[in-house]
Amino acid sequence: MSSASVGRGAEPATFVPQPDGGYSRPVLVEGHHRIKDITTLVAGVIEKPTPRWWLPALSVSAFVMSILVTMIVYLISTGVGVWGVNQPVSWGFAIVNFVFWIGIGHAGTLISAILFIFRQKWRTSINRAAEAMTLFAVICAGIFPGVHVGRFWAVWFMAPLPNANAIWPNFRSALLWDVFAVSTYFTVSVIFWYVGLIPDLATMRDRSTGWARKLYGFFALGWRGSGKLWKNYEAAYVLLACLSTPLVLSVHTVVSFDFATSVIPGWHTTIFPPYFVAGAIFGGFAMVCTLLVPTRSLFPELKDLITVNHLENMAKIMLATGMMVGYAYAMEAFIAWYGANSYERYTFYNRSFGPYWWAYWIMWACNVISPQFFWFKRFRRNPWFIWWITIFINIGMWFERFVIVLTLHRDFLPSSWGEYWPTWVDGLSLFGSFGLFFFLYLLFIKYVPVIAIAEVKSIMPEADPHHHGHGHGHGYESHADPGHDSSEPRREGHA
Amino acid sequence: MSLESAGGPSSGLVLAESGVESVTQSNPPTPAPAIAVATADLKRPPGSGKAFWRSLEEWADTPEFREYVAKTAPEAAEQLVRSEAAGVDRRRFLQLMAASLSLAGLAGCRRPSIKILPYAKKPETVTPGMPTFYATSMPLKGSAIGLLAESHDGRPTKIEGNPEDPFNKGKADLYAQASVLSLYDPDRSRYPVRRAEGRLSQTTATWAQFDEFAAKVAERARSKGGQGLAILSGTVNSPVFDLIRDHLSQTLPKAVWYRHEPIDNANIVAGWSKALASPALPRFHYDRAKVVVALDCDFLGVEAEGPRDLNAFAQARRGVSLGGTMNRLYVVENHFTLTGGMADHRLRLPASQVPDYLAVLARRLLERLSDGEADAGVRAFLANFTPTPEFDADWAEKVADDLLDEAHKGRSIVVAGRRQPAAVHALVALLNAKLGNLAPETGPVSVVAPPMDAPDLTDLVAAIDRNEIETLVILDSNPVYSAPADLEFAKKIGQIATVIHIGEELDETGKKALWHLPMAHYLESWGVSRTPEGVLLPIQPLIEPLFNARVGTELVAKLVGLEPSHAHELARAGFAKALGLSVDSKEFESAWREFLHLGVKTGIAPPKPAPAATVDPSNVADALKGWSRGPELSRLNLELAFQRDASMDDGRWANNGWLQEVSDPVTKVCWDNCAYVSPATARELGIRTPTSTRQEAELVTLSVGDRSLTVPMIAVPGHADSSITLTLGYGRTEVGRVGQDTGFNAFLLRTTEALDIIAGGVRVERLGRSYPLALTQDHHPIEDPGIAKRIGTLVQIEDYRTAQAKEKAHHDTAHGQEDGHDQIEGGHGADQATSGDHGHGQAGIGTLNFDAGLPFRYGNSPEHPKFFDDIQTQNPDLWSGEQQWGMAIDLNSCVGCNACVVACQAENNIPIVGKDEVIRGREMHWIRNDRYFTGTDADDPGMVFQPLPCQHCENAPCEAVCPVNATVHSDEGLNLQAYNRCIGTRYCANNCPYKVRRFNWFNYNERQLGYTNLRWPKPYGPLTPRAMEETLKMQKNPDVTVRIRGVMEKCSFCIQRIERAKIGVRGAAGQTPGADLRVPDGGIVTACQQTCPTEAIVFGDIKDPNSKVSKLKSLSRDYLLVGDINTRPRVSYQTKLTNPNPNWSNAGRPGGSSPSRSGEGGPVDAAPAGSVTGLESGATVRTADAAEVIQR
Repeated sequence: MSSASVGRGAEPATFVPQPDGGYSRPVLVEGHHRIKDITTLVAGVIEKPTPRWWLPALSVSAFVMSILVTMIVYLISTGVGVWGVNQPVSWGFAIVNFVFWIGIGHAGTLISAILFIFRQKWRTSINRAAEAMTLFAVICAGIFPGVHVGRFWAVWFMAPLPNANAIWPNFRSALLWDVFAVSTYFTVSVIFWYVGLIPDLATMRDRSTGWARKLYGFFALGWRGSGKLWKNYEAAYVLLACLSTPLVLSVHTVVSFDFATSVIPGWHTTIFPPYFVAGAIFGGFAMVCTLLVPTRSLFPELKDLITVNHLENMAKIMLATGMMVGYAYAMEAFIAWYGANSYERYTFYNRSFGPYWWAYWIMWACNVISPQFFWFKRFRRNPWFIWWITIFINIGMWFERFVIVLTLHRDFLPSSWGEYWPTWVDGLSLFGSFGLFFFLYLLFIKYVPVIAIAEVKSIMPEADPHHHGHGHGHGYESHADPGHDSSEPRREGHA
Repeated sequence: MSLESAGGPSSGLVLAESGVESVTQSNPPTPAPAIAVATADLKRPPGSGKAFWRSLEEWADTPEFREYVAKTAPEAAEQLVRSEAAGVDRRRFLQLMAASLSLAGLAGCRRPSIKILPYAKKPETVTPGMPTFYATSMPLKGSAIGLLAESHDGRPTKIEGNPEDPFNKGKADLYAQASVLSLYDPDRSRYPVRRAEGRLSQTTATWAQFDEFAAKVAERARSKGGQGLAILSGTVNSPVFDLIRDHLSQTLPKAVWYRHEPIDNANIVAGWSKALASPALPRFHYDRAKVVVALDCDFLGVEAEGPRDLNAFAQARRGVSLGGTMNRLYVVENHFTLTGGMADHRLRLPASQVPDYLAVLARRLLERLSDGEADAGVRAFLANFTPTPEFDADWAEKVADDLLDEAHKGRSIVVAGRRQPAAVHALVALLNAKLGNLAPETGPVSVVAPPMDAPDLTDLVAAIDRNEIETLVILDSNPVYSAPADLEFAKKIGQIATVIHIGEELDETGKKALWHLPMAHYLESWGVSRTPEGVLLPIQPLIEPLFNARVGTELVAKLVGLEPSHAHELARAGFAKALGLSVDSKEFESAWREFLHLGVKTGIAPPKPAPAATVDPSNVADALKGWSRGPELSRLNLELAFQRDASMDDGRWANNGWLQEVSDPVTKVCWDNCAYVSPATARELGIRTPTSTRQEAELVTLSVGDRSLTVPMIAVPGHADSSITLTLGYGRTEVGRVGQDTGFNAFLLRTTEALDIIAGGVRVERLGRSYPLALTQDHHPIEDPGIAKRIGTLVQIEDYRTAQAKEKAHHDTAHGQEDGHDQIEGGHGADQATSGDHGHGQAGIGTLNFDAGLPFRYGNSPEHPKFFDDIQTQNPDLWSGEQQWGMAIDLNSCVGCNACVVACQAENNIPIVGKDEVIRGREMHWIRNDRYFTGTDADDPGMVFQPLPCQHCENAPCEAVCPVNATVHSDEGLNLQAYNRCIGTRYCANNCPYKVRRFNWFNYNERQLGYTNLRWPKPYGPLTPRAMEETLKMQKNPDVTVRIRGVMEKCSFCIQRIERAKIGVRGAAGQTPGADLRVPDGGIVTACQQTCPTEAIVFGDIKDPNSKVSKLKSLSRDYLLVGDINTRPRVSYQTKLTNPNPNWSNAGRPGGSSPSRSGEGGPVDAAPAGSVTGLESGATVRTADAAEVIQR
């Protein structure tokens, strides 16, 4: 995939006609900013007086988060019975929420790592926020399986600790793989995000005073922006991207194994790994858009960096992954019929027409039907329209997991069929997890550069060596020395 | 050890005399010395220990002190008692135990007493940690079940049947199983209660005060020759009561003994007595019958007298498996019952129209069996009789032909239910006599004298109205709750000056009485019970009365002035009387010891000789006068039939959590009763039936005359149209915390004129409100593709003859022929004569048919050796155990009685969860009893039961997914659950295809009673008080862990019993080199197996080809449940068989209930087309209105 092919869709506004009649690379930053402006722009989000909405928003999300904490305290002190789970549906909202959040946590790393490796330069404006979102989503995700167990205080049995009884965790269990997969993913994502942040933290350090300067300075790890540092930084970044890439695919694959390695009709299926990964990317991009559209509205100065082109690109990805997901839904149903296994067939009949038919059709409508609008450019380039669609996709993806988990309610023996209905504790826990998510996100946009300053500079026309007559260069080869064009870090570097 | 009387009960010490060793061991039981049980003085509520006290006695609060206070300062006594809430904590319990022991000496000043000290030297029969078994019995209504009670360190924990019981053969029903919980029920009454002169409320009193009062009552009665004294009891049958009644008739001849049994055999006795011209109660021996026609008689369910009928029926039913033949069962009934579920042909008919069918059947029979003049009257009556519904030719003729078949001569039973009027029973008696069934020693029907002859409640009320009753002693009966509504007994009881109520709980009647006296549970009592046949069974106490109670017989004896009045002496005297020996004689002593040891005494002539087994047809003709044809029923003229509740009986078990939570076997409703109608009637009435456990049932008001009752109503497949069934026993108002707010009191609609069946005139009014019902199994529509497609493969049903042929072929191939498959097919094909061929064989052994499931088998048979070998080669480690445990469950024997469910609950410390948790789907039963309706006609389906414990899969899906290795496989094939290791991810439960795993969603064991019902809908929280009732702790089996919240649990195949047997065998082998350390077959009996009345469950070593379980598993009827997903369960099922009448006109479709045509799915598809049609033929009887609706 070349940059041109990505850019083609964005033609009128983003392509610069060339004297030879061809097109150059798309313009990724609008508004004719100079490189220096980028720093001012992004750091300005932090430096300018706190917007009036921020504190109330933070308070509300903190309150909602405290609901989650209360629910967890209630849960652990009283028993898992406070939820609606039962026999036969032993997993309820907790696992639905877990898979939902962990799915959302895919977009960030995908944008940072896979798009980085594939040289998708448009990623630079959104990767920071997307990665942060990943971390917050994984935190939200991690809470649910942690507390959903019957004996929270014994969760450490899952850790492979040498012990006198020589009892090890059961390495055959997908749930254990899950623990390893998610914790690895979280660790690598944190490191990747943090490594990417270092130059920008240094920028912030240089621009701030007092305790903020000390704090940024502490986290900037003494970054001075020297050429050698940049070289090492780039190498580390590439390596981490390569490390993250398989993780993006593996985490949700492993999550899908929780279901796929079981014997339950509707779960026991080989389509789950790719289908889950596609779904995760789909849902993850939807959540990125859900966050970025309001973010760029609240900080209008960022509109030049997070452009409609970015949103359009994401809309295209959502269209593609949405159709993959739709294909998976259809294929699942087809195989259930074609496979002639009566249990499997009934599972799909029951999904469509059983007690939870509405969840199944919400899933179809939100995940397969709603992205179809993105065939039309008009819709793709309308930020608030995209935002609305992404809300539907978020709902749809949550219901996808609901449908999967609720498959449990009717398995082999009709005698043990049952139903699952959430309690208020289930509902408030889900609600509270959004509080946690937004609480962290609000803190993030206020205190951390939402856009990767250094990286954005590298894709500005000014950073393109072509301007300086060095021939065709691809942004990232020349990335090694963006500092030359960037004002502050370089100054520091030369100091 | 001689038994000196322990003196008055207040200080008495109860001694159980002899022990029987564990039944699982072969040691010959020896008479044992006494086990002393220390006084359990459970009086101090937790946390209310006195801060200030004046003397040691006050601090320890002994009964003596209480009496002292009562004498000196009555107000203080009241306060003392009032301060006692329920329960006592462990520490205080131990303190008090010690204190009472040390203070026992003080009591000795007044009465002779036996001091109890800890063992200085261990008694021979007591091994710490090993339970002791005592023979005792549980009295039923006029009968008894012989039991062995398991005792751990003086605490009875579990009930088993006594194998010496000649009728019940070591089996116990669910009531007997649950009775041990009632013993420890903390809501039992704890002290005498009296209503002081001129006061409305009752206050507590002491036994000393009562003794004083009782002496006065006895004195007054003596002075008047018993004038004005009345005693009211249930049906009692015991030599001890004989003593008391003899005493009454001699010294107080004017006293009257009344009998009140809300649900009893009065109609049966009346009808048979009329026919035989002598008081008679029929006894049916189902094991001797080849054809059984049951008319509105659920003899396998709510009309069973203990497990005996189930056991006998299963013996004759078992069929080919054990080389026997198989009986044929015709059932005519209104509600789908367990008996109906076993039927080969079932006719659903409103209860009030059942006599019409009997008339038609009798006409046909008597035409052929007539002996001329003698029965002319009966025949004349029948000839002129026009039945209300029309019966198709099959039912009208073929049933009679079957009964008349030469092969069935004298080998059939016609039986009618207790609800049917006396005339029906008189005619039934005649038919049985004519068919040659009534043969006292060898025939399937015999007669005995009814156990108790006494005037009933109507007579008592008449006497009250005549002001004849001054003193009424009510023994263990609750007429205020259960009397027919028109007697207005609650009002009438107020007209009696002195009412003394003796009962285990302060119930509705106790609240109205002048005195209420706590009665000891049968496990705390001395006594002798007797079956109607005259077999004696001892009642031995296993523990000192927990709640300051006294034995019922003792109290009655005291009130009527009978000496000696101590229960133990009474029991001995009663037994001596029955034997005709003197209590002091040597022979008596040894007979008594043997009696207690064996738990049974046979060969004694019953007090009243059995009547002559001859029926006088003219008496029957006489009885038929006044018989009118059944009513025309319709939506606007509904019938209401009352039924004994499958769990609550007549309300006596209302505070028993195990029985509340075990659901009705057919409707799967628990914690409530409701009105049942057929789906067609429900549609007509517009009643919506919940199809899931979360939906609520509709409330309706049933009105009969000016009485009405609001109940929820649901449709039950197979119920007769235009008929309503309502179970009795719920809706108690004065009941402990468990039974509060459960169900609706159907007794309010029951009147003396239509006691059991209200034949029409019942109105139903929808209220537009709904009511949450706890269903343990959803009422899915039968047409649901998921159900229709798979039932046939889950519960497999075969035709008896097909199975016989298969079995034969199977047997032939077992000897030498390699390729058995063709043989089986051949043998199968050769069975062309059997039109009801359902083609299980054709499903193909070895062909992979996902719908069939059948090819997956397990066993040693040559037919499928590969599977067996496969497992051993694949998992040699898992097969390294010396013995490999497995279970076989014969669906053909199982009638679905639920005894296994309660037995498992008692054995394995399974908590109850309460109604709201059941609604959530969180019941904890380790073995559940799945009920499937079969066929595609919801109005007239068949029914099959499938008990489902953990299947102990070889390839267990649960084991693979547990992240912490909490569920693992043992080398003996057990699927183990390590509670300590379990963190509760519940992944295993999700992945279990059988959904047999149970999760502790809350700390169910620590929830207080009353938190189980809906009075406090959501009582859980961090601050909810938590503590298990102290007495309930005593019931727990010490060999089984009591699980904490947050862990998974499931059936363990009673691993504690397995291990105990292994230890026993190893201990016996000692150091002998080369000793066989295997537990012999039958040496391990699981709790469910032990109690199963029909012996449907067999457990044992599947590695041993000669074990019973291996033999069952190698039957061709054996199959694995959901075997096609390769879980390879250790539990396998044997298909259910049906034995339809081959002459039935639509031979392939013997009737709606013949459950073999199980919908479209599975191997049934392979059956000849003709056999899959015509479901309706069994459903020919519809009332005019209903038929109209259906045509529309």
